[in-house]
Amino acid sequence: MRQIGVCLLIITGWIFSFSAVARADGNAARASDLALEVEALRTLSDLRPNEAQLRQLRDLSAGAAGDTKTAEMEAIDSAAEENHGCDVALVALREALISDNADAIAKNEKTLDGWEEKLQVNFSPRIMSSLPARNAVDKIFNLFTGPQIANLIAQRNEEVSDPTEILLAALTQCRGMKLADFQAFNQDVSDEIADLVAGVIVKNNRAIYSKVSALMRIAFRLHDEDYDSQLPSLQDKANAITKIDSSQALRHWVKWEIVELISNPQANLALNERSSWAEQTASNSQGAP
Amino acid sequence: MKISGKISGKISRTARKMTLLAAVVGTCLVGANPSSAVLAVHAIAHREPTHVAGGAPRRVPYAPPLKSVPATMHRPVARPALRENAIAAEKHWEHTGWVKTGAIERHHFWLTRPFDHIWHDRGYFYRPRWWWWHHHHLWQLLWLGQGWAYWHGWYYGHWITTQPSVIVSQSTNVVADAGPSVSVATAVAPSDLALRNQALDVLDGLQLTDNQFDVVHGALDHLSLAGDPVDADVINTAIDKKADCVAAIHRLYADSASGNDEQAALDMDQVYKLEDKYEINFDPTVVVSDDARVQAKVIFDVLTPRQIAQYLAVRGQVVPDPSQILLSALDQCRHLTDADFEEYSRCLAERLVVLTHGLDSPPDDTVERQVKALLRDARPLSDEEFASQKDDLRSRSEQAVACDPIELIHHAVEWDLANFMANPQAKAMSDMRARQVQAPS
Repeated sequence: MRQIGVCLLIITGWIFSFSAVARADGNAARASDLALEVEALRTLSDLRPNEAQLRQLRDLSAGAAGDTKTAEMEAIDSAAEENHGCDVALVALREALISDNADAIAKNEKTLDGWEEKLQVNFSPRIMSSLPARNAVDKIFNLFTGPQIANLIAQRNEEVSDPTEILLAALTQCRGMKLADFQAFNQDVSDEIADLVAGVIVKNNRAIYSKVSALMRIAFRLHDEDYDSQLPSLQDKANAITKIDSSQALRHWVKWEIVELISNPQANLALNERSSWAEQTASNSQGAP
Repeated sequence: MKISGKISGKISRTARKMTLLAAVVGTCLVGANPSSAVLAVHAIAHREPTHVAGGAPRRVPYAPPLKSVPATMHRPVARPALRENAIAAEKHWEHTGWVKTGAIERHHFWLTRPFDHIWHDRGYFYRPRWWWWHHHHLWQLLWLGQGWAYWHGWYYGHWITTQPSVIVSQSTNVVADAGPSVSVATAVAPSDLALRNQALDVLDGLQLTDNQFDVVHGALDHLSLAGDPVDADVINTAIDKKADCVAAIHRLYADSASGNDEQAALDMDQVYKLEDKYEINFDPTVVVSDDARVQAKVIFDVLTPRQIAQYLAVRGQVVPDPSQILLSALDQCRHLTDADFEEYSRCLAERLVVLTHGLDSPPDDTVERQVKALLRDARPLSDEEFASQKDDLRSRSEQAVACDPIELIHHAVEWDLANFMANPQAKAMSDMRARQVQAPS
């Protein structure tokens, strides 16, 4: 029995090493975990928290890790397995993000973009928000200053969207889709709009989700002539559903970014690494003549 | 995820500007976003009459009219001389006749014959009291051949500002770029070019739709009065003899105006380098009227979240940390005279109230009281005492100006838009962009 156990351990170890990548610091991790860590480090790099904020973030985000999509994680692992360059790019980007080296970040982001395009794999896996993360988001949001939040928004300006714009475009876009495609599309659009309009409060979020989804279904089912005649009315309804102050929409967007950060299963590791780097930098600067 | 070094660069640039400003005038404010505190400090330094937005009028009798009041209701009727002269001056130039836009009447004029000294002596501006305006117009006519003249009652019959036609000024700039002659290069004052660059930066940062562009146009039309750049003379005097500065500002304007963004970014870096080299802030400070504040809110309300995000990507430096401003001010205020301190604390408090409570902040505000109290407490402290109490002062500063981050962003962007509305070059730049959109070729 003992021999069988040893064999099993060896086999398990072999399988693990097969799917693992070597990091620059010598530790091993799956490429998908590394991708998650990079994602968390990106947000931290944009928020630029100081040491005190990092400590508080670590305390408040304890136990808030959420789930990820297994299929996406596996796709990253298998892509990294077949292309060593992906691992190298991820590790290099991680190091650059930890040390806040803007040039290296830009360079490695570009390399990773190239791999994403070449392999058709998304190296930013989706993270399911956890309830503890949603509950803690207000406290974490208030840790940051205006310039820090402004920097996050500025750095990710291309990701900020206007709910009204999305819905109006989606009403037209959904027409002519197959039913299965429409259902997936409707879910994505409704989710995104509900997130922006209602924020992280689940109850409000579901209400908006239902309204958007219902309007999308109406637009989907209408015949072309009816759609043309009813378009102004649909647009009015869309405007009414998505009516929100721009500042409020930005607030919701930022909070979702923070929820995503603390729901990230690798957030704790990223926070520790960033803290270590901050401490090291501080001690180096103190030791400097 | 696009990580851009542009923002961090801009922010660090702004930080350097802030340090420079703090060193020179004793405050720590965002250089690209002129504030009333800067006005006050300017006034302290130069002892010039200054109006501070929202404060009581001082030596310059100025009260911004309400946009709903027609110009005829508040224009003094007893000063027809300028207008009569304008009509008589038709023999020297052509003009469009008076065009009323909102509460402003203006006309476009251009020379119909060569400029001569007889015209200079006996022509349009013969009254000594109008010497400055006289030469202002002469300068425009001499170098540009045309311009805009404005009439507004609240300025007691003065010709309040002139804006050269953009098309002509652009061609002038081409000449200025082509030739090394400093005298030609100064055809458009550097401070005016800096104001144009500011206006273009805002307009391009907003990435407006057609409808929104109409709103901005409407807001500029509704504005009863453009702001006055209070330190334009200081900047022009400082830059005038420095050919590299003048050329750099001209290049930045030429590239910004033609939409050559990549080159404009390089030009901007060059301008920053020169600002550091000569320790001059090229951005003039413009008085922000109540009317400009109202119109800024109108513009902000039509912006989408994406546009605000894009705006922050271009002008992220407009969002400062109020507690850092206050802490820096607590240090600096200890070195001011009593009179300067009063003015400084009033303007600083006003600036911080706008950042924390927005453009609609109440006149008697808790923030204002706390800021003034903190300044009074810090003022008598020696360097050692200040160093020992710094942590406590920092904590009190953070409490005094505590503000929700998104609210702060909202207020800071609105304030930036109010500065844009007050910018005397905003209308011309907006018109230019509108023409470029209509005729993209």
